Amino acid sequence: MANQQQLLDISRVDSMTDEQDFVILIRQNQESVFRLAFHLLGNAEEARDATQETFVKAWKKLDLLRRETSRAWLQKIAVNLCLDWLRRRKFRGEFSEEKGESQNDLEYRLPDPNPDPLEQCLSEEMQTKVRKAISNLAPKYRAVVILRDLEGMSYKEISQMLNVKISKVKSNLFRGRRELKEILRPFFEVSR
Amino acid sequence: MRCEEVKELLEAYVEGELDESQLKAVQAHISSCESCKKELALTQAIPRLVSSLQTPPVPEDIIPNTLRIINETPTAQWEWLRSFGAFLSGKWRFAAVACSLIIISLFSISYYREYRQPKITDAEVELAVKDLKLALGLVGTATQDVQITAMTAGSRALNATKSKSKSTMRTLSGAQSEVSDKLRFGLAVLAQLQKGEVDGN
Repeated sequence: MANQQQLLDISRVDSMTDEQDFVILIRQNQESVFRLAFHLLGNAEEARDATQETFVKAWKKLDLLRRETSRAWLQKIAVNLCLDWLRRRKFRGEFSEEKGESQNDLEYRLPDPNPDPLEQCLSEEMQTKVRKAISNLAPKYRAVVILRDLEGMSYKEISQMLNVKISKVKSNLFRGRRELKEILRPFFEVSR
Repeated sequence: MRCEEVKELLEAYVEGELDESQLKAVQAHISSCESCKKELALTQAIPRLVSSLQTPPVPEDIIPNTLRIINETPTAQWEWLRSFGAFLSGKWRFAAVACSLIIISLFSISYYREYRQPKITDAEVELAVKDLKLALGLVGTATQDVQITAMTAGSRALNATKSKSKSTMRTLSGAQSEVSDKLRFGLAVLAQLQKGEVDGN
């Protein structure tokens, strides 16, 4: 059995043979996978299910896991899984808990007149507003914004993860941020 | 550069993706335009707001749940069957059924040709040999009858033997037909037997 320190050091799984090794892998990566799933899907319950499904998929394809760095590979599974869920949700006409709120709701719930966005972002309400704004983005924009701004990935890493060209990553990122800006603009105008 | 043009470029500006001439033009405009300066501040705030998002703690049951699902997951074989079932329930099901029927039909024909040809048994070969011998015997008998008739046929006995000759000729004719049939059957049997031996080699 591979020893835990070895897995931590090389962040690769070269000799995963049993469940115990796999549990180590989950412990090492569940936070990053859950974070991605939470911000892509917009709620914790679905994020938990998506995280579990990500690891189940990984278990079924352990032979592929040995050839790639484990974290990037798991994140790729998670992102694609979440995007599938979002597409199905859209197809079924479902709305996330954040959807259905109007711009007026955003303005009405912003009593804090703090003019500095960075200070405002510390408040729980601001967090909620940004999450809601993200949940209103189309999945392709949402994924790029989260991977770039929250996960700090490079254009190249994102393009590999989503199987799109780097130019597409950039255009989706700019478009996504612009839409976020428009959704959040009333909040900044009210708060000034 | 007008405000609208600058605002279109602000995301790329924040990401450092503008070329030198665009960069200089945008910077020059922003330094003298309050509205675009505010727009830039908002544009710069968006990625920072996203990066500041907090995540709830990871649920504690992820590991046990994942292990439970893994242990309940069907084997690869059943997984394959389930995938195939899902495939059949999709839009390709009619094509899949048609292809399956064609493949099954082709396989059946091939199997029938290969394994279901009538086999020639030893008993059939023995029967064919007997038939051939019988046919040859009939020919011999008929020939002898003709020879006897010819020998006994005198001028006086000509009329008496005429009817005998005719009867003999009829017998010979019938025998000839029977011989032909028997020979044809025997030859066919032998040909099949030979083909079987050749195929067997």
